[in-house]
Amino acid sequence: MINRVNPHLVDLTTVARSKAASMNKSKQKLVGLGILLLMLAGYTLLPPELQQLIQLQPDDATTSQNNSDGQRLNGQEGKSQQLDTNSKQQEAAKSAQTEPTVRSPTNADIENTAGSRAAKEFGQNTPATDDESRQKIGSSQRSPTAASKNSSGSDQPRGPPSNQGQRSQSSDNNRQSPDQTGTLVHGLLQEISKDQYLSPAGLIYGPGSAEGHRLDHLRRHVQNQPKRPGKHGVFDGGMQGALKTIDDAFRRAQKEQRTTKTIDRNRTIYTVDLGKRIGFVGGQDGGRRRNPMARRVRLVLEGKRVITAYPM
Amino acid sequence: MSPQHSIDFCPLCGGGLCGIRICGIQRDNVPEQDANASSASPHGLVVCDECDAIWLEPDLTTAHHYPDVEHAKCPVCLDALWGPNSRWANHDDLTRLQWDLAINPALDITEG
Ligand SMILES: [Zn+2]
Ligand SMILES: [Zn+2]
Repeated sequence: MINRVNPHLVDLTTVARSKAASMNKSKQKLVGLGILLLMLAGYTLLPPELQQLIQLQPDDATTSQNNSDGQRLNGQEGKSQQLDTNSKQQEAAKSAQTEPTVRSPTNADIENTAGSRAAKEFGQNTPATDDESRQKIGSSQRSPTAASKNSSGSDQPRGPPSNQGQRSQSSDNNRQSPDQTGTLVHGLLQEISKDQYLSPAGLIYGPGSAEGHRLDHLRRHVQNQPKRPGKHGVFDGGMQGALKTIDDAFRRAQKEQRTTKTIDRNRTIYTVDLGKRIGFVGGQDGGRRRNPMARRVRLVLEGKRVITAYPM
Repeated sequence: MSPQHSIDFCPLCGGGLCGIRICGIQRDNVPEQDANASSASPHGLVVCDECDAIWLEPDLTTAHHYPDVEHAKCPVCLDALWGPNSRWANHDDLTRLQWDLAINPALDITEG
């Protein structure tokens, strides 16, 4: 690339050499021009489909390079119109993970980023997050009883759903054994290490409580205890319903939507209004009042670790 | 696992029963000389059955403790809070602890 040499850098001792070079250069120019004309003539003679093909190829190369650069640098979406919708969706998912503050995040995005962040803390893969893919994984990999469906029973404001106890018992008798690697416990929870389960919203359920595990403690709140003194909050939808509601409550709490928050040392206690029925009030007090519906959740956390959660 | 006898509802989490536990019960079966090696004889705790908050006296206005989230220990003897060395106090345990007057009988849960 002699013609790109900065002329200011050429000193007198190289003048002769540059003259010869410039003669050589004009010869090369002529030859180059000839070749260019030949190519142009050949191109005009080509059928239009082939012409289009020749035009597109360099653009495609640039686009894919731009995309990979963009993703590597800051997750920017590619601008090419030629990308198919699938790759656009993939890109959108990538950018949702990499730039949550730039985009106006939907619930799914928050779920995605929170889940992936918490999973990264434990060096795990991001769990499936949107309902559809979760259901897909749930139904393909888990036992049918474990994939119990959540029915909120919102048309039933008062009292326990009629099949509530039955469903809870049949679907949630045991915390699924941790050796079921690759499956989602209760259709939602990813086992991130021994006895540690991560929810899509990033909450962690681990050992603890009188019951031995926070999930076993939570199980107390998917069935009424009519003899228990005071109120006893019961979630609709068995364990899966409870876990989904708790995740919803946590997402709302993080956005400070209809949430009251108390911090006591390393504990955070949220009371979150979910704006719809999520369970009912049981126990002796609830029974006396014909088991009114509950639409709030009290959530006691230590960091992202769930201590307890119940409807109220 | 609900407490048999409680003193009140939990002022911290709102939904739990502050039940009385007796801890150090395994000392009962330990020979005299071994029991002397440990300072902790059976002792009472008030524990919330929802949030695990602990009080060392049957008085919820005193300072509360939060045990380790996964490995909860008795603040007195450092044994496992939910281990074989402790249980929800029955009526005899209450008498032994001399905490029988502290309970609210309306909050009793009789098993079965
Ligand atoms: Zn409590
Ligand atoms: Zn103790």
